[in-house]
Amino acid sequence: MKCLTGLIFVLSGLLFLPLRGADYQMEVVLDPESKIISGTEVIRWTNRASFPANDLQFHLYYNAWRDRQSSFLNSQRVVSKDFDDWRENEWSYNEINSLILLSEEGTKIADLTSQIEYIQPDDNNSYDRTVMRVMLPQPIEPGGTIGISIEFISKVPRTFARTGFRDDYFFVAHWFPKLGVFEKEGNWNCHQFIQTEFFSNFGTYDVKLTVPEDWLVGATGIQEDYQKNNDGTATHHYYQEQVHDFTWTTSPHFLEYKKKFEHSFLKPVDVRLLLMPDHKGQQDRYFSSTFAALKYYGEWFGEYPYGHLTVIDPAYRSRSGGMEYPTLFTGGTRWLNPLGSNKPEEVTVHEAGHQFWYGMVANNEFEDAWLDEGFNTYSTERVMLEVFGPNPLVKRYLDGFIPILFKGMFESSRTVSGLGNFYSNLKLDTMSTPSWRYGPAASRGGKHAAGRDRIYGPGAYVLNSYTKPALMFFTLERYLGWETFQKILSAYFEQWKFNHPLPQDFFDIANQISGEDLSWFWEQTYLSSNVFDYAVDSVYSSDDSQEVIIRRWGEGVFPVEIAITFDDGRIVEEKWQGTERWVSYRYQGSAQISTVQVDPKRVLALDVNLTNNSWTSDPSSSFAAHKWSFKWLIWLQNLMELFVFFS
Amino acid sequence: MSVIEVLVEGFNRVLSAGKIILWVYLFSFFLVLGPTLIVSEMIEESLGQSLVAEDLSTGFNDAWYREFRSATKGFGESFRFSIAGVGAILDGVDAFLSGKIFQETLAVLCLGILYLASWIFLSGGVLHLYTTNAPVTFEHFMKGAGIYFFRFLRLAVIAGLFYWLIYFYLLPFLGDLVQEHTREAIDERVAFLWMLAKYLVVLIFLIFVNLIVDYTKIITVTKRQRSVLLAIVESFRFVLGNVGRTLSLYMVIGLLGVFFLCLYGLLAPGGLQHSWIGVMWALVLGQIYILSRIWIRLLFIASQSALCRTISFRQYLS
Repeated sequence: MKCLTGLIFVLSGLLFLPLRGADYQMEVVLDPESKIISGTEVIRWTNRASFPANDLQFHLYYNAWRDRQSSFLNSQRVVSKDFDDWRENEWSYNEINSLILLSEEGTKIADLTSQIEYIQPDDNNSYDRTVMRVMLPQPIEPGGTIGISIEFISKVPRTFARTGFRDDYFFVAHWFPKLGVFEKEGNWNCHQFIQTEFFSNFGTYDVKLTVPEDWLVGATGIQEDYQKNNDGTATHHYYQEQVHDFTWTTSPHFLEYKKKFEHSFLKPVDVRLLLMPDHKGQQDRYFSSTFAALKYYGEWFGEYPYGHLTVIDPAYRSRSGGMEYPTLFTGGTRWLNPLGSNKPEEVTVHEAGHQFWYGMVANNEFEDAWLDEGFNTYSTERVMLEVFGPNPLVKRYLDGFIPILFKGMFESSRTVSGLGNFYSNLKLDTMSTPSWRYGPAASRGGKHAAGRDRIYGPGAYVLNSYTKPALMFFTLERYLGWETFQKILSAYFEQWKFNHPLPQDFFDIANQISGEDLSWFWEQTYLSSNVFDYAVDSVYSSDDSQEVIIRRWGEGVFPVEIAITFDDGRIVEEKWQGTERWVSYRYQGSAQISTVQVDPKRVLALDVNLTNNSWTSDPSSSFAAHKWSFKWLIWLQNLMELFVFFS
Repeated sequence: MSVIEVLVEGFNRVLSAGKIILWVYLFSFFLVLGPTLIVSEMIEESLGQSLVAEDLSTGFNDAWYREFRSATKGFGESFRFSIAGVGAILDGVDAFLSGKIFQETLAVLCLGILYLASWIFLSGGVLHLYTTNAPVTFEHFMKGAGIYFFRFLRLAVIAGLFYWLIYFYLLPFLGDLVQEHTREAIDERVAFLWMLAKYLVVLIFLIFVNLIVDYTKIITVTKRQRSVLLAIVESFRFVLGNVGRTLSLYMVIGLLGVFFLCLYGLLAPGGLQHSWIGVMWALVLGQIYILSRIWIRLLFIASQSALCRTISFRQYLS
């Protein structure tokens, strides 16, 4: 213990680089047998607010899986029994052995270990220990800097969500005691861990990881040093400035691949891929999609500045796939994954894209998850369409192992269209609700009281954080034009990179660059749960006149174009502000109306029903219905033949 | 008599009573025609006069499908993109092996039970015609069906109990076992092999029960056995006493069925037809496949009857 304490003071005496908020210096050891990470951290923190800090608040995320009473598991288990078979040694915890307050110079001020208490700012669940508070002996004034030296143990869980172990694969995220964010208003923003969204200060991470000697390590930052120890372990020294988290992984099974991303005007990036052996052969899919993200996000929004990026291919069923961390992310593929399915590519582009929306433009995910998820879903969609084309429909058979790709049949993008079954879910909540309140079980099963599947959680987290904001951005892009919208996004990126924007910050930039007060749009999309649905109501024809009635079924109001074609080839385009419930257009003459389309350019991507947006005098619905019902007939006959087996 | 000779005899029997294939096929076709017309109407009504119908005429429109799916009820709930082409086959195989066949929508499930009950009735007629020298007339067919219906129904209830045990006890048990053995697997190939093993075991149990049921029916008809339980015992003895031949015959015909399944899987048109010719071609090809399924089913009955007769005759001679 004395040695460790001594080490703490030595570490704390080291000089740090210029501060952003909180800088971390850590030395930890992983014991793969007991799944325990033990070590020390020294945090150097400066009060950037205009108010004194009377206490310190820390996230202890691993306590989310300490027992079944935590807020995370309590709520997850309401709708899922996934975690019932977790065994005794598969739970996790963060334990603090000592917490010592240091001066700016690194000398000990006070031992605050006995001051540790757990608070529950979000749900008052006294069993939850994911937020720790210590009262300070004296307030830290604005501009004041302190050091905090913590000796801690983190027991790695069998993965519940995003972080943990599976056999000898370790994915270690949100694992160390981490300061919350002391906001400029003088309060701590330190939410309990209820769902996997995060928020923290930018800073420098200087971390030494000791793991078995022959295991590969991937981590945030770049490896500065590697040293073999005498006990069969090796210490990997990673360092990274200007990031807000530190994540790492280790396993003896990883295969390592490296490639350099190069571009005519963007900074080159060394991309390192750690691949699981069952996915050997898929390395190019990872690299091409990572490069696509770096290229297009770089060209559209701004440069990726770090110069290095680590891509982790997660182990089978490790529950750690598809997640973003600074300068490192996890993808997700399967052993059988047909070329052209675009699934691993989409996950990779999305997570690589988070380096921009989350990694650099670092909004508070606890409260405004849509700010990064929505931006990134929209951006992913754009890159996918640009590089890989639409996603073919794929179905997996026999417990999901065998995928079949349905050639020529494409899934509706989750952003461009296909809101049909979202109609009622859109009413569940608004985007402006703080994300942590959307509740857990964001995308798990269960039923609402009315019997409807609860695929979006009680507050429609996924819908309001991913889909709806992405549709909002596609609508804006088409309404303002790509050139203007791209300027908005790049200005927002430039102004808020390495910072923590709020929704209003984006709205202000959009209003300013577009030269239009878009409040009417934000009010209807961000603040309201209204839906948009414009439709062709009816078409009346007589020998010498024609009438078209267009209707607004939804509460949302948006100006739309209407294109009417006549059988003499004439096309009439109307513009409607869309404020009334319906509008009628009359045309004199003998030419008959052939087709009517509301919003023919699909500007209003938020329109929840695209089928009712058009009308034709010569419908092919009968043919289509016969075609698809004949296919259903064969499917049904085949199924009936299987029923006969049981006779 | 070798398995091949028995198979040839069964083949000839099915061929000589070709009308039976037609009757069974027509029954199957007309049973599903009603629901098909309902689904067709649902789709047409959903599309109305929308231009979206053009997408479905040439391919598929997933956005429309999601809208349709969220609003539809009954048979329409089972409509999905994977009904196209090879998907129809794989959906069936997957549903059969994993037991999802019992999780189909209520409307489909009810139709399946109706078809199952109908086949229990019809199979008596088929066996009657295949195992006697009665002329292949509709009258004799129905007579046989009537004679054995209640015995076959009792047999189906008993068999159903075993199938229920397989799907609702053995399969979850094996699932848990696989889960336990792959709990630490970080390589998907390991889990894949376990999955294959799981379904292979399920398939073996299903085939065994099916084999006993098949010969129970044959024994019931050929030996005029009134007690289903005694027929089952006799069938059990017969199958175990002639494991090689009964199993070989089952496997040969089963593999023939798998061959047709794979062939259709390769040829089955997806969802991209855009003309009536293409649509009708897809329908005809599908019907040929269904005919092959029915033919295989009848070949099972005819060949197994021939095997049973041959072996019983030898035992009588000895």
